[in-house]
Amino acid sequence: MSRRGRRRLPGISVLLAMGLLAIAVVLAVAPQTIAPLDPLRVDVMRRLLPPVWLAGGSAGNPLGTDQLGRDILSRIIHGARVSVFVATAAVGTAGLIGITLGVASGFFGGWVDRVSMRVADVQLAFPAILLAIALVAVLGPGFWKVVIVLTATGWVNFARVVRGAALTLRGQEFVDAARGIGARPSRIIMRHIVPNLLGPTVVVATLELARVIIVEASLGFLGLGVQPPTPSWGNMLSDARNYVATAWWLSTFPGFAIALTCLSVNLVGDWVRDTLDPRLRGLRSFDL
Amino acid sequence: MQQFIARRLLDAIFVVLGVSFVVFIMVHLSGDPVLLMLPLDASQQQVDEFRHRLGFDRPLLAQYLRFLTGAARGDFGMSLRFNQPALRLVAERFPATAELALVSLALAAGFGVPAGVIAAVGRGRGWDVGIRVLALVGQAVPIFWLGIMLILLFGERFRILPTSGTGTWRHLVLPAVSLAAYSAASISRLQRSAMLEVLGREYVMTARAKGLRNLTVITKHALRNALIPVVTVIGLQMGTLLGGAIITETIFAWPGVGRLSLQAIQSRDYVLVQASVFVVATVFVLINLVVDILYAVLDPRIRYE
Repeated sequence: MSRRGRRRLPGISVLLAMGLLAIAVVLAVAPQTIAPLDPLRVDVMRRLLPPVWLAGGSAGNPLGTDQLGRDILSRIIHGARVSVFVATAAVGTAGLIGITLGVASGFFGGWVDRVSMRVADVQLAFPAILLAIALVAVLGPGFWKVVIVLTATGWVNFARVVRGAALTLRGQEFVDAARGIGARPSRIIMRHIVPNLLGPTVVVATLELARVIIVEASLGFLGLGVQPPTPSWGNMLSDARNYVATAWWLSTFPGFAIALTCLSVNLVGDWVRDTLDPRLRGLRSFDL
Repeated sequence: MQQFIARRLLDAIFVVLGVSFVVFIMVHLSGDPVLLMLPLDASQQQVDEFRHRLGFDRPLLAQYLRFLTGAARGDFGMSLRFNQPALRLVAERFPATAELALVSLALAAGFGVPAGVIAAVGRGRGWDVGIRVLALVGQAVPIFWLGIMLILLFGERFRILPTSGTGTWRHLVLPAVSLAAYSAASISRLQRSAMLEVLGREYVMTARAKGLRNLTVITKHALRNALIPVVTVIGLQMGTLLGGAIITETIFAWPGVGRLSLQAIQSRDYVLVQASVFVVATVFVLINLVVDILYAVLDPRIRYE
């Protein structure tokens, strides 16, 4: 098998990953129809129940209950909502901004290019998670603020990759030809540049999705994300820290949810990258 | 070469200027920095007094110039909570963070590079699959959760390692491992693909055809060339590690800059937040500068890009 001729069909692990992601999306869209219990219902008589397979566990709470007697499984199901929605909203807007600036910089060059790449340089001087924490601390926590902060820290990755791709495309013959027959820049961009940027953009988007899910969970863990009582995987872990010694299930299951989701995104992302464009192998993960 | 260094230095200075502006403007993003810093029940008189004392009643540009000249002299103002110069507090905590980040970097490279090489050499075999699965998991597990799981296992269940504070090398094990995992995974994946690329090259085939021992071919002919892209990435991992240190330090009560800045955020001590964010970003810029220059020394082609 030559290295270029990679298989196009997804392997079993990629299919599994796609299935898991589909489940995550379904949970996010309709958690209340799937979750067995109300994730907010406090029941002090049923505090810190272990998972069902341990002594003292109850079938009513398969993954156990937390320090307020809330059902862990239901909270994880509802928590998917925050992870999935924050990630798609943040990556979507960051993508739009990054692609626009990237195309403008790569295609036109000039001051747009100089300004946006300088801003990108400055932004990349901050470890992304540090910038995210500091910004949320100033703006305040909450769903939309988290989305704004993750957008602000994520557009750079799109812009740089898209700019590079647009620069290469600009010099290609079919672009020269389009210009030669008198096509306007807007037409060249929409018809010739943007469609060719799809590959790298999709690859960046999958890398970004995994990054954003982890950063959002980290913010939640630090108490800076979506605020309780709304369950998110991150803020569940934040509460669980005080019970590491006594109730391991509080901190174990939400973490599994995050890790499985990111693993799935990465697996699908790798497959998409190899399928769309093996030359993009150099694009690895982004700095957290 | 001098020209190259001069250009990079100039870039770095510009970036640090940009960093200072971001750090300065950050506290203004909420609208009123004074309300951000004072407790919610502060009286109007206290607010006005505070505003005047910290100079927030002046024009924005004047404030920035003052911030910039202060930062240039290492003066970020007094920490609101500790009532000590903010930079001194950050400087006191910096060695702990540097220690943690450097040990983690060594761990990440020390595991990542050999793992990537082994995986590439044994491509498709059990080793390769095992290492790739580990790397995928390593990139999917958030630092803070890994930290909690390590505490759960080694601190609570087996009780063989301390889970908080500092002192002996044993205190360093859990924080360093949880911080290093993500970087080790990234490095091993990159090393594997760089190695695969090189193993297919003609000079490697020539070396094999000459009848050189497999180990010689791998270490002398393949690895040396496959290390070049990895070295750059190892440098860039410092950013990930410095960022991750915030979380690791918080979980393991490690007395570094990360924990300090998070505590500063929680106690609304934004003077201290500014100082620590500025220091971390500037250190990162310097590291990148050094990596760039080293890279140009190692690979002369870079200088003429």
